[in-house]
Amino acid sequence: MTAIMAEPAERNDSDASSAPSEEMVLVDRARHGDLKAYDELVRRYQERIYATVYHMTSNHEDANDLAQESFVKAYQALKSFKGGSSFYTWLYRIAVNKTINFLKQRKNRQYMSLNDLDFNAEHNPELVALISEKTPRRDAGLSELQEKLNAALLKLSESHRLAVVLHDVQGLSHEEIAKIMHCNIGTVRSRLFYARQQLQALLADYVKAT
Amino acid sequence: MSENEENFEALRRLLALKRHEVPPPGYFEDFSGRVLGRIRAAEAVRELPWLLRLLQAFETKPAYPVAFASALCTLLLFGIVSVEQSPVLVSNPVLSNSPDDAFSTGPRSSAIVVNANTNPPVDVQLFGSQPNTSASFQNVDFTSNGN
Repeated sequence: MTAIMAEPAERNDSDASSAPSEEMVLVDRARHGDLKAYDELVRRYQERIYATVYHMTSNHEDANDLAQESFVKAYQALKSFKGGSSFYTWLYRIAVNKTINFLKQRKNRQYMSLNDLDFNAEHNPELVALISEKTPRRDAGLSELQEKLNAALLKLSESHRLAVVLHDVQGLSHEEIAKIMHCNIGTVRSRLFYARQQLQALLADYVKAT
Repeated sequence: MSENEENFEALRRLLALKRHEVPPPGYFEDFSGRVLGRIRAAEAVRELPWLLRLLQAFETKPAYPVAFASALCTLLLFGIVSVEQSPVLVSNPVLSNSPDDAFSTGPRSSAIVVNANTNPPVDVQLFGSQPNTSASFQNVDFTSNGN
């Protein structure tokens, strides 16, 4: 298992472009009921899909359910996948729609069950510098910061949160986000701008410190 | 936009903390297995006959049997009330008083109200009393007149 859940977009792009035909072969086999091929596709994208859903919900149990349901739904809908976009974008779209629908239903009961921070977080120089200024106890400071950060993210609208999560956390490009969110690049940029403005206001103490 | 990116650099560094949030150890080891398990379960349900699928839906979602029972009770009550309250009107032109009525197309003046009750009518006079007939009785004298 990788320590960091979501890697930047550069790696995603190369993954997607290096073997698109191989991926299409797997998709085609899965479409004809080959579960082994689908297993391979799930393993390929499970971490990224889980991470996106988790960063949107800030809840491990919800992310677990939604990520699994997204893969099940994608398998059942494989016949409708025409190959107009990459399988990865199509799968992302399913997960994002499912998550947004879920969040709309959950609106009145927002709660967090945050995932633990990995070992690397404590050794990240930027974070260490930030926390050292705020609190003498580093681990307690990190958890507090994590909670504040997630609470601030949950205050954003779903579309603004999604733009920030996909770009600043997951590292996807504007073009990819536009495809996933079914909108143009200008809309993505504007959502990103307003989301960051809101976050900066909500996390003013921590952002100034850096 | 690049200026904006610079303005938010501090925020972006802070957001990078999110990348360190990880699920419980070993979580992804069995993730695909759980997904495939759900797919197989869904396919198995789809292959069942409709009656079994319905029963399974009743088992998995408690709201379904409650809704089904409520609908059944409502239907039953509606049936009972409608049978009790609405008599069936049958017009019978032959039994009407005026011969014109038999051929008139307007609303019938005479109608027979037929009780929708399916119980056989019980004539209480059958037991222990004489039948009530409208025919006139003539007393017959069987005694001889002296002839």
